[in-house]
Amino acid sequence: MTMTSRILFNQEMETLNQEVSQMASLAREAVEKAVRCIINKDPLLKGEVERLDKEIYHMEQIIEKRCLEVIALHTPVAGDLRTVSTCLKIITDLNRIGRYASDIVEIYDVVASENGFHRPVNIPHMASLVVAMVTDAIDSFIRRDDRAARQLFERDDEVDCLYDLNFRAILTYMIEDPRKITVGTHIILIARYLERIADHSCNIGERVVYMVTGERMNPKDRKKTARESCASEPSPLNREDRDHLERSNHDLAEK
Amino acid sequence: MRRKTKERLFFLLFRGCALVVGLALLIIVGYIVFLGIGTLSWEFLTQFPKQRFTEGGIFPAIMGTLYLMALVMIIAVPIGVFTAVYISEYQGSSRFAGWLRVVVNNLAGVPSIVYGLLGLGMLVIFFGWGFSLIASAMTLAFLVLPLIITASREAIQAVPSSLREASLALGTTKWQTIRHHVLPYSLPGILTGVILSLSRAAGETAPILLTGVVLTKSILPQDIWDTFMAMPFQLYALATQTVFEKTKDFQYGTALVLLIMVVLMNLAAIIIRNRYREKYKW
Amino acid sequence: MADEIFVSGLNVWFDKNQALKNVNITIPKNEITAIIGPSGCGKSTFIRCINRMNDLVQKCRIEGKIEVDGKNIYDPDVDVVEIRKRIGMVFQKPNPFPKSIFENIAYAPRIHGKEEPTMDLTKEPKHSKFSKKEVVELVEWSLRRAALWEEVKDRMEKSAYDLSGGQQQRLCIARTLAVKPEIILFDEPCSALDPIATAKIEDLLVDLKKDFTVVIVTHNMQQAARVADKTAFFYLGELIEFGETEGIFENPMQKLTEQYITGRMG
Repeated sequence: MTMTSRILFNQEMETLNQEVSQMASLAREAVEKAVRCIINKDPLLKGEVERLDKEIYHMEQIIEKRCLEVIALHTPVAGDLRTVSTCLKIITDLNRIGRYASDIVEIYDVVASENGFHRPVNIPHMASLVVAMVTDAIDSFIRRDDRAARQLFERDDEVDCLYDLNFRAILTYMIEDPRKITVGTHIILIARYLERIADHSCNIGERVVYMVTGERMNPKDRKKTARESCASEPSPLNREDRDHLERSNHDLAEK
Repeated sequence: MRRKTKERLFFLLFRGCALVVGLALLIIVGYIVFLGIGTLSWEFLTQFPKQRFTEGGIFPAIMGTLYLMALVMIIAVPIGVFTAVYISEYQGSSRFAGWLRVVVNNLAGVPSIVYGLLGLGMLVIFFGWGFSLIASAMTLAFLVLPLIITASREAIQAVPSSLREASLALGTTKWQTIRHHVLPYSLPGILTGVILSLSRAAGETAPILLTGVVLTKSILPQDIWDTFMAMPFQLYALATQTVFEKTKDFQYGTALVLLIMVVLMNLAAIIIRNRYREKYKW
Repeated sequence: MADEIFVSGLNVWFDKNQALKNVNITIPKNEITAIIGPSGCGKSTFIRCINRMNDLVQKCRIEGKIEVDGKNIYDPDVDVVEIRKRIGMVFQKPNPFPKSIFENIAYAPRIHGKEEPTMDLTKEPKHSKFSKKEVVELVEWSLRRAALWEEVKDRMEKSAYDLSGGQQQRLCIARTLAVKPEIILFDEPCSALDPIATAKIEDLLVDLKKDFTVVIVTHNMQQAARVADKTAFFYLGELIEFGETEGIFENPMQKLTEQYITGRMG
């Protein structure tokens, strides 16, 4: 291993880092815009999100190729190896995130035409949590901060809870007013996509922990407080959210 | 252009020197061969000298020189080779070995007449050996010992240490390694050194002059305590103590025989060395 | 897994320089243990302590102990020659004797003779001579085990120097095997060889560990990664880290180790 090959290697690792960061910010942008598209009923954003998704997919291919090149030519070990393997894995997650963002804006047509739910049940709040998670997951990768990464798992629990609540609420409304079934099911899809995005953010977090410390997390560590507490009491929700939920339920009941 | 001419100049200079040396050698050898060849005959080589070195042959001188060589070899070779082994293998860089090395190097420069005096004083007189073959042989042995030690030591040290390590790593003792590897591989060098030393000893006059050689003897030496005849001394004695015209044939003849003997010995050294080199190519 | 070599408190000085500082390591039986580290870190010195080749170096002082099968090989009543029979060594540059291929391998067994095995390193075991037939069989066995038999079986009388570098090195391995050691030390055995020859020797090492304990010093980390079960990292005379090879190369515990294996040292 001469000094020359390490210079090339370092350059490759730097490029890899930049490309993954770039792909990550595209994914974040896609999620953000998708959420805004739905909530603010902005049709222009739909086209943008679809464009972003394509770009994200394209980047995944570039980065995967680069990772394999680094492995073949430079045989990275230890920290470098963990970094490269992390990059390989999180681009999959980022790609999925982009895909889900695109899926969300597909639903725009159905939701937009419907006069029904002006305020989708608690979706904005869930969405803002998810966008924050995506942002923080990406930041933890860029800053190599495993502690920030670990904090994602609790927030994922929160998002899962919200999903459960939303699901049940919407189910209730659909039963009460069958005319709302089309919209209802689509909104459930949106919630589902958001929940999946949160999961993938968690995956990224898990990979970041491995990259920084070499520790492989036990799946049980992730779903610590999960579904059980959600079913018994809405304690993950704070007072604000609960009030918000009450009011939303009320609004919908009146429509 | 200047560089090229300079180079050519030096080249010519070196070539010139080599030519001069070659020419000198040719002249000396040619001179002796030319003048002595006529004397060579079977009788010359197998008969005793008669009529005060005007007739007969130089057989006793030839035999005397040969006996001397044999004895010197028996004495000097084992001592010399084992000393070389000891210095190279067992003491290495200790102070004693360094001191030995210095001593050996200096001994090589001692003039042969001094060795002769040593032989005379210590062996002939003090030990009471008298003028004898053994006294001369021992004296000559002292003389060639430094040469043999040096040549052997260099041959031994030329054996790469990787071979020694390989043998030791197989669980053999130091002596087994020396016996089966170091000595066989350094044999060419040792043999060459031995033969060259012997051919030097063959031509030495001063040491034997003081310890046992005589000009005339009617019989060959009967044992090692006997006096003997030898070619270099014979040449010296004839040249200084007889009428040149009468004995010049013998003189040239003796010189030629001596020369041939030395050449043959050197040739033998080269042949043996090459044969062993083939066997232990490394 | 039985322990084969137990090193404790090993310190080595060459004149005034301390080459090894308080090395403690346990090398397991029937495994390949690799010793890695930058030039001058003491790895060759360390391995040469195990078969006491450092005894040949003037002004070398050794403290501490190395236990093989429970006996300290530096005890004064231990026979060094016996040690080297049980612990063989293959060197960096192939060094076959300038003799025929057959003679190279037959040399040591003929000298040692057949011996009744003994655990007592202090006494010389009883010997009996090999018969000619036994020697021939032993030579064939050694060459087969060193994956060289097929290539040389028709030219056993030819000089060992006619072989290629890789073949010469395998010959040296066969030569060591013929003495039936328990432990074989390799001091950078492939550094003078081309990649194909290197690959053959690496395959050979993996095969050898079934019956022998292998310790290999290498400056090629990828080689350690490929063949070794355990890896030890030395730096400036100290043992910095020792553990399973996968662990060292995936997630080393010491920062120095990480720096060295990712090439960010010096």
